[in-house]
Amino acid sequence: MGKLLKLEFRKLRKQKSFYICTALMLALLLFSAVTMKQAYIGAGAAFAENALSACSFLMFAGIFTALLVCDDYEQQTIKNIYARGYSRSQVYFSKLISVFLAVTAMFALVELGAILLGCFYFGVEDGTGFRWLGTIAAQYAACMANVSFYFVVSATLRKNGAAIAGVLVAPTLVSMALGLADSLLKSETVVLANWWVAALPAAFSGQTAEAGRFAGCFLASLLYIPFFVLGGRFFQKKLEGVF
Amino acid sequence: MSYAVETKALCKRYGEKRAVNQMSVHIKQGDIYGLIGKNGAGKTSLMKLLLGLTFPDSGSMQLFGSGDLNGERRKIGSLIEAPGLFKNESAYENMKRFSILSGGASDGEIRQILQAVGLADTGRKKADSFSLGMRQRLGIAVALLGKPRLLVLDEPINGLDPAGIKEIRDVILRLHQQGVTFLISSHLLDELGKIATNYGIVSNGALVEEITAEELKKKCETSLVLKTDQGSRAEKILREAFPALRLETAGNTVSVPSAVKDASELNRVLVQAGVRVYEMKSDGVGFEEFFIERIGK
Repeated sequence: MGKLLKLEFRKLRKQKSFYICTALMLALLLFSAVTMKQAYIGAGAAFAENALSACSFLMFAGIFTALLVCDDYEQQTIKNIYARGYSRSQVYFSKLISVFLAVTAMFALVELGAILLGCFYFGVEDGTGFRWLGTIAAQYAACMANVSFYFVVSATLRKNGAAIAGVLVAPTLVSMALGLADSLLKSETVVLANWWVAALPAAFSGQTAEAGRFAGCFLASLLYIPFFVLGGRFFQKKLEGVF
Repeated sequence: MSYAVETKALCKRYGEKRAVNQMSVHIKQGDIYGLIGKNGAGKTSLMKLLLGLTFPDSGSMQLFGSGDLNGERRKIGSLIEAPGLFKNESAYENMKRFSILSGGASDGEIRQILQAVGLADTGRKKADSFSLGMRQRLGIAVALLGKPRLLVLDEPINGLDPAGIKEIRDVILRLHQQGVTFLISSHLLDELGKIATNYGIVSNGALVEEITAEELKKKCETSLVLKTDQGSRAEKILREAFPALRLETAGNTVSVPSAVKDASELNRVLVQAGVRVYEMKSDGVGFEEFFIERIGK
């Protein structure tokens, strides 16, 4: 496993999409800071809390995940790995760790950029304390839950084009299906679409966060990660016919 | 018997097609095992099963006498179908990257392997712009990383020019002398015939026959057959005139299994001695015919 991780990290270092996606997100943040000057005056922390949507973080994270995961399948280098005696599970989890680390680095860079831009352009509001740190931690959990989903989609489809399309379209399709289910169920207490992984980051928006939903979505994010990761591996084993 | 590869009734289906059907293969350590069969006969499918690229539906296998297949696969280098390479990296960078899988290789080792396969001078040229033959060589170089004890090579000389074929053949023979075992599939029977110590003949997913190179040589030996009017006298005359020849007589028919440079000379000697020769013909099957007989046309 150690050798596989080393191989993945080497690949990560050379992955242009990591640098391109991060640079584009930072550029979008700058653009957002410049164009939305009126909205955040005196509220640099709020700018940081809304940074993920301002730079389309999930879209870039999805594209990056698809490219990183599919690279070995696309170039057929995966057979060199399997043929050296590494199991499917080892490959799966080494790729997952590498994706999580890379997206964490992206997240940290984007948030750092957002905090610096927020402070520079808008200044920090008095009396906000460090509440925004909690919001960002919850956003991180929601992002990783979404990335877990992207990972499973990419590791299943294994082709760059299909995986990118999958990570962009699949969350919306599931949202639509859950919306239809909600219409049929007509439940007043539970709205399924609100608990789908793609809807979770919105619950952590600084200005609109409501305490009960905030906690619920945070917990849901934490539960989604093992659900997608282990469910994805189980599904793959089914496809590979190794039971 | 110490086998590098031993399979028992290995089966693999793709839908309705039996790609590998009850294959029991025995590859001894130190063999160069040539796998021969038509396209779609099951050669690559068998290799993929051995390497863990696909999983068998039934049957079992052992590698180096052990059932810990993934553990033993660390000792195997392979090239299956098109080589899997990072196309935007140079030959050296590809080697450096894949060497991680086998515990790392020094710059010296990598350059030595690249030298052996004739890719030492490719510099920073990306694998993307390599010719088919160069990619094949790089695929072989990657397979050689980590000093493998068994090399599984699927059509390794595909796309190589005659000089390249010779280079790869020399690499194989040199490694074989160092004790490396080989499983090689190839359509080029002549090429395989120059290096293989054993053969496995595959047809329609099944192993038709396993045969050593020596047994094959015996089976493929052609004889010169002479039909005469006095068999024993003809044999005596030929023994006196050509003491080096191996002769077999059955009735009035004399067979000469060893190679004969000039068959007309035998005829002349017999006729001059008063022995009538009614018929002279070459009997037996050649290397190619032998395989075609078994794998079908």
